[in-house]
Amino acid sequence: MLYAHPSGPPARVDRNDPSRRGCRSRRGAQLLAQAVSSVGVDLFSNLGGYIIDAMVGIGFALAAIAARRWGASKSMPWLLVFAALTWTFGTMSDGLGRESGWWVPLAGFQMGYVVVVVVTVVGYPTGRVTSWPGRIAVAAAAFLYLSNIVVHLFFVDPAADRACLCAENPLALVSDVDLNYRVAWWPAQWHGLVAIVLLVTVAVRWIRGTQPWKSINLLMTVAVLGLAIAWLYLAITEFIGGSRPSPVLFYLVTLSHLAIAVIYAAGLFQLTQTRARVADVMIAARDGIDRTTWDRLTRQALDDRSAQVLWRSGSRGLVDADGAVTPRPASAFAVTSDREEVALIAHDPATAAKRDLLASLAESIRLTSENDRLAGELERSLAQVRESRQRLVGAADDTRRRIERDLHDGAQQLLLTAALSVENASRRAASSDDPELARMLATATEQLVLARRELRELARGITPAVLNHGGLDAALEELALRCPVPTSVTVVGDGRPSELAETTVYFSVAEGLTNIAKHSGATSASVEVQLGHPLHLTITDDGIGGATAAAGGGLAGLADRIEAVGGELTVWSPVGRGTIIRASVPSLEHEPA
Amino acid sequence: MSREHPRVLVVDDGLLIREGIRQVLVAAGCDVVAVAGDVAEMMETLTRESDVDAVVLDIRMPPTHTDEGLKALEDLRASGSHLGVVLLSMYGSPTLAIRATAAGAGTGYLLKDRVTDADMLVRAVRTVMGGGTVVDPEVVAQLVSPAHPRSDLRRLTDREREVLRLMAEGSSNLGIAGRLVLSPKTVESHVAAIMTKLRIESVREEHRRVLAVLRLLRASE
Repeated sequence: MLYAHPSGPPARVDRNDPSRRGCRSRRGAQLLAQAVSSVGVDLFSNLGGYIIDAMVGIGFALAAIAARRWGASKSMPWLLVFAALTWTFGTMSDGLGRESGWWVPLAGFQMGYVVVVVVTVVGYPTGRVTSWPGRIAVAAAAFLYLSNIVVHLFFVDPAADRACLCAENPLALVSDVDLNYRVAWWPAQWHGLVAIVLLVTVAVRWIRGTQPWKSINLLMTVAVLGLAIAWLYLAITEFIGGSRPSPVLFYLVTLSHLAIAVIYAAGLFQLTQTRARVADVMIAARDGIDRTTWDRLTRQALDDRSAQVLWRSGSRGLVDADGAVTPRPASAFAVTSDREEVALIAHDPATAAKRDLLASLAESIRLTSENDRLAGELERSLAQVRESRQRLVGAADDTRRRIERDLHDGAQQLLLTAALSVENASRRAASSDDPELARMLATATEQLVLARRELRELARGITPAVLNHGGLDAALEELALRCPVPTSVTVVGDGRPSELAETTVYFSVAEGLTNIAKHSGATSASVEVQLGHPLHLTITDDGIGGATAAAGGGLAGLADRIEAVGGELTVWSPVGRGTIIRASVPSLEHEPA
Repeated sequence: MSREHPRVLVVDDGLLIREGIRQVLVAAGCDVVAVAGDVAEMMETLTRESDVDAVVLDIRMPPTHTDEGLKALEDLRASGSHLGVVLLSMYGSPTLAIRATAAGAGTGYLLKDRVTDADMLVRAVRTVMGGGTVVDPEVVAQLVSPAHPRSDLRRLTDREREVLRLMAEGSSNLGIAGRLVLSPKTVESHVAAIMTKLRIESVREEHRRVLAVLRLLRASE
């Protein structure tokens, strides 16, 4: 490109066109001779052009880095690297082509950036080309590129024009000035065709595009328009053989490439900014948010005011944040969990371009809703476990009462009846003349007394009858009475505790006092009960301490009993400083008496 | 009141038991005028048979099988009856014993097992007939076993302790007022002070008295 700006032949679209390289006319040959003789001057006067050319190469390289860092498509960075290389190669190859014939066929490869530019434009910003006009544009560019390679490999030989003094193309099948001339228009016209397809694509997309799409694509569209119009203009002037276009036009083409590279990188950067908003969503979602908030966060993250999260609700289908049934939207992103659709992110068609963003959002919605579901399930099963444990304890208490009742009405009554019969019999025997029988009956009476005493103690241990007729305070007083360690009992507060709470407190105190009597070495103890819900129980002694509610510890049974009804137990028992057992027991059945 | 053959009513929901008790009492020289299976039948018999000296009454009876007998006793006393009543209880409960004795004079509280001991049973019947009080030895043993003075009781004044002692004997507030020559209002404030000092709160009035007496009994030796 040593002679392209601004006095040289038009360069960007057809920099390697052999005719432009000075073989087209005598005037061209003269120009070439002029140029060769004044390389140094040109180098200086074209400095601006070189800088712009270099900037475009750097622009593509930067866009490649941006695509690598922020882009969605894996191929995009490599395509852009390819563009940067081919562009730079193109800027250098023109002059070199005169020195060695090998540069001529290689020059065919240099138009690779055109394909990349088309992909970049129609695939903006994701790098994926999904629309049919877009695909046609890419295919046209690819055809242009490949055909140009073939032409340069085999059909261009600048040496055909002797005046050129150019090196020979070693691969050329023919060496003909006319042919050179005829294939010359090839790239220019194809550029024109690509430009037309691009223009149509961009126009259709712009007309169909929604507001969010337009805001994303405005700059890119302007840049593409500039490029396509310039290409088209060059193609037309080339076709009709008009006067050489103004150098400004070539600057426009070059600058359009630069703009496209920069806009592409900037667009990707903007997308990363919206990805940062997904991070915000994740942070907000961690604290558990309602559906209205989901809508707001989704709109912010997608920068799409029409976006909305629709939730699948069993048989009702899709519902919005307010629970209203909503038809399935045309453009939406599915949130799936276990291959099952749990929600949809309804959005503007243009927002579909933010595929990764949508996927991230969907993932956070899925995580959150799954979290909520799991937490709910855990909560439910815990509640079930608690309830069933409580039911078990309640059932055990009921069973105790029933056994005691059965003993009272059955075995105890029968034994008593038997004892009465024996008593009557022994009275008869006493008045008879059979002292042996009288003695035997007296022994039986004694045995029956012992049997009944044992049974009575057994029944008393099974359930405290005093709870039924005397209430918790009386029952605790009786427990304290039987405790060898002097124990005070205080019951304060209003209302009667629930039956379960009463039984729980009773047996806890019984166990606690037994423990104190057996192990603590205490000289006094106290039992304090604060009625209400929950009921608070405190058992204190001044013994040796060191008691533990851990499994296997002396108070493990007590802890189990309290926890089984949903209560809490704490034990403070430093060695040598006594023991304080505190328990809270839910008690929500009886109204105050 | 004393006669050679006390006229006794036996109340128990167990047919064989009340029959056994009847035989024991008859053999021991009592005149069992009737037997009853529940409280209603007992009341009915009492209105029919005006000449009854004592009732041997099971505490635990239908419908709730908790303290029906004791309630019947309290109802009798409330209606002004001085009939001798021996309560029979399957378990020796100090609470029940105190409630029984607190109901008024002429009351006994025996373990049900004692019915096979004809001597003890008839002795109890005769005692309550004469307006005396009987408490089963096993219950007394329970009450005095801890044998440690209660610090709470030391906080009572002499007058309060006197009132508490009378409460333990089964006197009502009005009765205490008469015995100590105080106004019923003063007795009431003494009782309230006792309850506060013994930290007995928020229970039914009768329970409060029972609990207070329990503490006195436990401190009594």
